[in-house]
Amino acid sequence: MTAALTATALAVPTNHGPPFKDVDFVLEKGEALGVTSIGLTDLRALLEALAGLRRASAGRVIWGGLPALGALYDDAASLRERYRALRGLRRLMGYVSDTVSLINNLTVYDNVALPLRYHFDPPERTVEERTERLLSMLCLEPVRALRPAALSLGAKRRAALARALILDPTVLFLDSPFSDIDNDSAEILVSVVDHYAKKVGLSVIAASYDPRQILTMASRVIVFHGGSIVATLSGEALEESRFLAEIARLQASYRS
Amino acid sequence: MSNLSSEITLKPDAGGPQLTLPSWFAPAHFLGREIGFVLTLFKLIYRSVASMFWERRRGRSLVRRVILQQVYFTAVQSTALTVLVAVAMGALLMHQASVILPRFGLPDFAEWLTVLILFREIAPLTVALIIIARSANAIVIEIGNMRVNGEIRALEVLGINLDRFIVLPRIVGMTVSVTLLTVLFCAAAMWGGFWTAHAAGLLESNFLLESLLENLTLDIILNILLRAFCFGIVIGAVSCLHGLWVRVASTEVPQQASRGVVHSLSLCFILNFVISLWFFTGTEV
Repeated sequence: MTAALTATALAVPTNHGPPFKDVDFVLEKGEALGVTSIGLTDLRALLEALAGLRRASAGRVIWGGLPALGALYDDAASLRERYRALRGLRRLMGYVSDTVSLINNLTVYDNVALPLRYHFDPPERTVEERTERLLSMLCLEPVRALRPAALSLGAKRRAALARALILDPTVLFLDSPFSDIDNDSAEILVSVVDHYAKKVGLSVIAASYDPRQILTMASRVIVFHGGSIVATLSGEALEESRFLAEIARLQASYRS
Repeated sequence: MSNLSSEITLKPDAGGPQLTLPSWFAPAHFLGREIGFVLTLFKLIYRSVASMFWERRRGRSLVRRVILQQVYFTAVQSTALTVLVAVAMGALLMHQASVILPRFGLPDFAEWLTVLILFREIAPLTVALIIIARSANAIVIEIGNMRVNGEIRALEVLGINLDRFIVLPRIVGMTVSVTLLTVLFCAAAMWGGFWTAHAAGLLESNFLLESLLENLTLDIILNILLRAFCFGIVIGAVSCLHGLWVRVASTEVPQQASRGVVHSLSLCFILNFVISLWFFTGTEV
């Protein structure tokens, strides 16, 4: 398997909780990696650093197939080089934040089509074809003409996922993907992500404070405590009862 | 014990060390802050203009659409107000020039002075004031709310260059709007003002529309357009900058909106003064 993303000795400052330190892992192509924590940890900061949205204080993130990411973190790089590096990175990744943040004055359809129109400006027929396909997969056709304010949280999250997937990214970041949404929306999210993982080898990093939620999607789970990795669980260890028992054991041991 | 009224306290960042300085330092501190603001403004204008070239293939149709929306909201929706103000100011100024100047033995200067004051000095500045009151506020509030709702962050995550997608269309739209409205203002003030004043019997018989047109030279037209162009860029950039300065709370939005208006007004008056002074040396009386 080839690596879609590699984090090496990564240290990340956080907004709250202890900073991340010595984070090492490899995300394989097509893999769904879950990230959860015991105790207070700013998982969003870690996701943002991996996605190039936040500057790491040490270490490296290497994206497969992206040669010029260095300009993003190089103070001497020109504005033009930074733009180029940033553009290259954003086109490789999809990011769905916990706050969703669709553009309020655009319809669901225009929100989903926005990255495609901005980055490639293709003929409207191509935009329509790709956008309609995603809207259909995520059951958003009935609400395609609505503004985000009129949507439920589940529909907003599905629309945000459609927007994140429209450029066919290689890595998808999901920040608390299932919090406060209905079961149907959660099932649709999981099935669409699975479909993309199988079809185009999409790799996923999903972070959540609720280990149960992560389990529905991940094939490997990294557990953090105090900013460091304390366990990596995969295979049979992800069987629900064993997984939850292990999490409970870790919680008890770190509390004591 | 220190006298608090004679000291100012600087708070560079939350939780950082506080620096107490004597009161005589306050004007210098204010000046330094304003110079810093102007430099940041230039940087924003440079970045958005540079994005026209560096990112010229990105989202052309989207950027074009935002420019057209901005022109619609700023220029088209302000048309009636601009015409009304232009006709009223034109009629009043022509009346005063045609009546007062002959009393001082200067009847030949009436049309020339009208053109100089009404078109060169008043038209661009009045249009700028109308735009600041109507649209500058709106831009700050729009961008500020986008920031608070996380939409700006979402655009960054999507790899959308804010200088190109948010700032550039608003600066271009604002510049086009101020220029178009200034031309409209001049036309409405010239013909509307003249015929209104004429119909109301406010003009002396020797005050002629033809003389007004003769005095409207290419120099003056270029001067008017230059002012309108500069005002448009300044208003657009200041509004975007203040909108982007909103951080996390919705209470910051009205604060930044009012600062945006004050900064736009100040810079337009200063620019108007500088351009007037610059051109005044070349004016032949």
